[in-house]
Amino acid sequence: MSLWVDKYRPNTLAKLDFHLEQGERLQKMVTKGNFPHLLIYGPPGAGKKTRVSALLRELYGPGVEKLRMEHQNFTTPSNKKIEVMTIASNYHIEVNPNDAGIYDRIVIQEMIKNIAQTQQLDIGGQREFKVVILTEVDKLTKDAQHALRRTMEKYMTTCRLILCANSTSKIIAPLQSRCLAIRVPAPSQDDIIKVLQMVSKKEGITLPADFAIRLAEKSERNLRRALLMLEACKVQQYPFNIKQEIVEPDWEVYLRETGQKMVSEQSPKALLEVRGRIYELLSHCIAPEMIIKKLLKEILKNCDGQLKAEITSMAAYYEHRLCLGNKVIFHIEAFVAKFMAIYKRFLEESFANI
Amino acid sequence: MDDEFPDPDEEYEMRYADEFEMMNEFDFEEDSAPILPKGNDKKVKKSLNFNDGSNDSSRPNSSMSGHAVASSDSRSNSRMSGHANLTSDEAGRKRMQDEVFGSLSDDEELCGKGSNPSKKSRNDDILLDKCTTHTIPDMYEEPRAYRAPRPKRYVFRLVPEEPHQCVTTHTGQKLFIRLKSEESLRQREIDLNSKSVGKLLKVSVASLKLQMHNETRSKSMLVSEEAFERRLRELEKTEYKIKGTTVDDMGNNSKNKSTDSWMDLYRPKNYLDLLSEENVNRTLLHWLKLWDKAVFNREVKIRAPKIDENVKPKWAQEQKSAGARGRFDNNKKFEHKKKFFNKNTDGELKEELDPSGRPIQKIVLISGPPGLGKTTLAHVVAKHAGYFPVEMNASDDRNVEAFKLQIEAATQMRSVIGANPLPNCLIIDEIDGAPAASINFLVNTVTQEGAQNKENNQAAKKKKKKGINIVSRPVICICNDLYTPSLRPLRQAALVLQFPPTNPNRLAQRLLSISKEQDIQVDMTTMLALCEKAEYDIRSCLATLYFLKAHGRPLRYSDVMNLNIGHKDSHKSLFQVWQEIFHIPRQKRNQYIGANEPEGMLPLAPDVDRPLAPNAGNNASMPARFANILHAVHSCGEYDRLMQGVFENYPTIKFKDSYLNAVCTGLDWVCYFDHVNHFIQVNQNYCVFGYLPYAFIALHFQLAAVLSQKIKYPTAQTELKAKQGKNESIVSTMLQDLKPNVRITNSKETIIQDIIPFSLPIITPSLRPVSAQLYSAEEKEQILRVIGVMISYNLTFRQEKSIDGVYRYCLEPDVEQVANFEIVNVQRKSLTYSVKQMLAREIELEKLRQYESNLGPVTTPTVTIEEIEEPKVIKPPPNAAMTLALKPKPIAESCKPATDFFGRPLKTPPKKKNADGSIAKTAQNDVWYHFKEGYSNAVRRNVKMEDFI
Repeated sequence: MSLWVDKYRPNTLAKLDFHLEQGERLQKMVTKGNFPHLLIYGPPGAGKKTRVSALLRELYGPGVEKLRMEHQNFTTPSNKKIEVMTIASNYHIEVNPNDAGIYDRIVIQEMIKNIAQTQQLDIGGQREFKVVILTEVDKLTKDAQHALRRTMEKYMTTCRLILCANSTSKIIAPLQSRCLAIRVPAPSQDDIIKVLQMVSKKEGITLPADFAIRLAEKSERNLRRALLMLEACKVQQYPFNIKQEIVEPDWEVYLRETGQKMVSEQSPKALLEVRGRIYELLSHCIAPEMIIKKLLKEILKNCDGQLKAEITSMAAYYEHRLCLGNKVIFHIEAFVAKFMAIYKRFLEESFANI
Repeated sequence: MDDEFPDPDEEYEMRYADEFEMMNEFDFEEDSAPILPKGNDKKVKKSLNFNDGSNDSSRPNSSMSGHAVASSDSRSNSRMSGHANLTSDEAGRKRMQDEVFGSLSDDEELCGKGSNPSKKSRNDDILLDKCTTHTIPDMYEEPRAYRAPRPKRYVFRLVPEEPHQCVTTHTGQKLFIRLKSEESLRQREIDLNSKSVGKLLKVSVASLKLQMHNETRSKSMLVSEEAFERRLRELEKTEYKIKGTTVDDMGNNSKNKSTDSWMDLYRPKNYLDLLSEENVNRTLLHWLKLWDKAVFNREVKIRAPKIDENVKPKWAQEQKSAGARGRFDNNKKFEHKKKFFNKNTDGELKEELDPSGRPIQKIVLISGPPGLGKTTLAHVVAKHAGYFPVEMNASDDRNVEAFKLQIEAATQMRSVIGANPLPNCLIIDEIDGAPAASINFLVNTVTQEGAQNKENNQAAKKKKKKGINIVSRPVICICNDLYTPSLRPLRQAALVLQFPPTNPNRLAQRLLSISKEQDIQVDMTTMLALCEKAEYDIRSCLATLYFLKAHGRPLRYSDVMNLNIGHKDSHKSLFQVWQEIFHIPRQKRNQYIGANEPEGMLPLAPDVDRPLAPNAGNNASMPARFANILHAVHSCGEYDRLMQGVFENYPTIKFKDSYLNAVCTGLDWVCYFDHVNHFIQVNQNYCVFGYLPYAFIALHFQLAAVLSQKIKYPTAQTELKAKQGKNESIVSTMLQDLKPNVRITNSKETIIQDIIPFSLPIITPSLRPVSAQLYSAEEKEQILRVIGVMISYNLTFRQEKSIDGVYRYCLEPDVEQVANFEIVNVQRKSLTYSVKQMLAREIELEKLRQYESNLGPVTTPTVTIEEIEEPKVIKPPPNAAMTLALKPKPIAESCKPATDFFGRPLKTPPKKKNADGSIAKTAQNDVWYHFKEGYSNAVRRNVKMEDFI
């Protein structure tokens, strides 16, 4: 009785809907018995977590689905207490070290070592190792990543690590080399349409093909989104109309409007208005990188071809600076101003030519 | 030592009185000694070169180059013997004199030395004595009286009438040496030559002497002439009239003045001398006058405030409250300042007196930057109003005890001793440094006893109040920083007077008159520049002026401009610095900083400025602005907040930038600042801290405008923090209680970006606003789904009372707040109150059911689904319906006892059966339970939760 995303999530490797070949390989890896550390990466909504949980089930059987949540407490050297939530079954534990913020190193060092050092008691179990799943590894601090290196080698006999990340670029090379990297690419549009059709069939609703295509396009190859959109649209209006408006998250609409404002007016006043909107977005916990990304997308839509390269490189530059700095608003605004300057100059020049 | 000295000296003089007489004779002879004058002259000049004082003990040294070499062995012998012949008494005396006169200037000594050529040993001795006696009168006035016949002298302190030469010793003392006529010189020389020709040496001693003489003379002449010339030139430059004023007088003058500084010398003595703003003065004075009734038992004249200023005499204007405009100010600028001042005076003087006859505000708090004359004002006004000012400042101990003692002493007692027992007026200076406890005590004593007085409601007779701790004297507090936290209670209780900056014209005028008095040549513009440089700090102005006086030249504008001192290292407020950053200075302002700033001051000046260097003479030149901003930013120090302010305000500034290039560059600097700051914070490495201020300079050059704009305090960042924190906590509460199987697939980001925005429309299906029973099967299914989603994501509806007293249901946790933006064209659907209420109830029930199913024997999911559906059909009635249904209960009960206990109209068939059965049982039983009123067939029995739901 949950969202369709959760309801129709395949729980075994065999039931996967796409990337079937990869699924087979994973299956083989499990049966062969020589299970390495894994680094699973790919864009959001591609099915990383689905694969991980299917893999676990393949390894340990249905017992792995009996989950419990635990809170673990750590004390930092500066005597600050931090609490990290873990999700665990008898066979594995999942943790997001980012919950500890800049103290993620301590979580890695203490908790993982603890888990790794203890042997699996259940001799009847299929595997002699436990699995530790670390999510959002690309957001770990460098310290924490380095802390992970030795642990991974030392406790190979008792524990395997599965690291989940969006991109490998922020993971240090030593970690990458210790893991078997598995890329889960975003599903193709066809895959998404297939899944959408399958779900609507199971739900007993009719999904026109055109509408499915529209949904798939709109979802930007993010299956989670596609399913959520489908469900939301179904709640909004059923039977589906091909022209029907697809539900969008507010923040995306808001960002799109912001982008349009940037294109329509270039002045300090417009800058001030855009700033207000960016503050609003930031206060709604939208990641600053996401803001720049979506803004760029919106701008590029309205922008002349010859400017696209320049603006994109600007966006990349400011996104990078943003990661290096403290106050994201400075950098986002710098990007906005830069775009406005470029765009304004371009407009004036093209007018002059006419 | 000095004091003791004259006594033995006098004694000595008396003892050798006859010898003195002899000596005088000798003096006469020696006056006509041939070589003397030359040697004298020469030696003086030499002494300029050899700066070590050639006193008696060092004479052998000095004789190396002096004419003493030329003197024969016999002379030195005789000298030796002379020494030997001295009586022990004399020897001791001589040594003492040597010690005492160790620092004697050579000139005086020379008077004695000049007589050396005489060969008699006795003469030598006498010479020594004479030398000392000669000097004494110069140094000490008293002995002079003893020496009635004044010997002829060659060296003078005063300008002599005879032809003379003016010399200056190395100590800077000015002396005048008498010149002899050429003739007499020549004659003496011949005499000497004729006397001493051809005894032991082949060449006569005299000729040797002459040779030596000429050599040394020519040498020393050269050197001394140069020095002399230099000195003369300097003297000529300063337009002092040396001839008019004697050297002695000058010395005396300067001595007198250095004892008390100009600050004391030129402190305003009475009310009219005050330089501070007229309004403040008047308000303070008026407030003091309000005390008249309590202190002097005089009636205070309280005037109606609406008296016409033009008609009424001066006092009427004084009565006007702090807001009154002075009538002296004609120019608009002044007027503007007044407005500013008025705005800042948060305390309006209240005219009424309290029952004890004292003004309602018993304390005045004067605040303002240092050096404006706050303390002086307080003193002058207190004296003016007939009080004896008792000052208490930071140098005194100011713990509570001491404070109490002081306050009591000053405000409740009266000085008995003294011809004129004036009442005290307590002036607490530098109160912002006092501990908070003391200030609290002060405020308490003042306010609390005010309350007591009200209780007593007694007339203002001091006698009655004797027992009570009461402040019956005015208290004036003075502080620099009005917003020191410890002053908060005082600020509320006191009449606050803020000191505006002194009017530059008046200040300059005053300085000008002072400098006239001190013979400093200076003009008005220079004075204005000085005032501006010292930021109208009178004290600083005077100190600088005093310093400049030491130059002894007429002051020029450039002198003041170039001066490195006189700059105050004051703390600038954030708004001042922002103002400076966003403001391009006008031509005239701040010109002294840039134009003449030494190169060393700008070690890090970027190359940008170089091409503009020729422009340096310009007032608002780039280097000037550069230095100005740097100084301002340095003096503020809160870089982080400064930057935030700059960032938030720059789009409102009207600077010239049609292509946004300046904005881009400026923002790049902002980013740079952020990076550096981040680096510092992360690495705790402050070595790059010094680079932060330069970002502001760049910003100034990019974003400054000529028009000054109103600047707002930056709040966006803090607001953002607050909002973000709130939203984050909402998300984290949602995450915390998420079901593990859902949680495992969702990170925080996906929750924020996808799940919440999409689930909101999912849980708001369009339901007809009808009674729940009327829902179709489809709608019921929808509701079921909503409940399912909400439970799995740990959402529910919670009743809330809004501010206007309306009840409404909102999501708990309030993810709507996280997901919803203010978008113009989007209309949001929302569920009606009743639907939300129903959903909330159902969610609770569902949770209970799930909990029970977890605990109890496993129930198959199909059963639960059935169960869900059943209540769905049965009891959608919202609360309102239930309360309505309660009314017919008694009737239903009486006529049909078999109905449900709660009086529900409908029931599940199985449940109904169950209930029926039990009721049937109880009906058969003989036991009945009677309650206080009425009758009930309520029976205690085990009921499972699921029976109710």
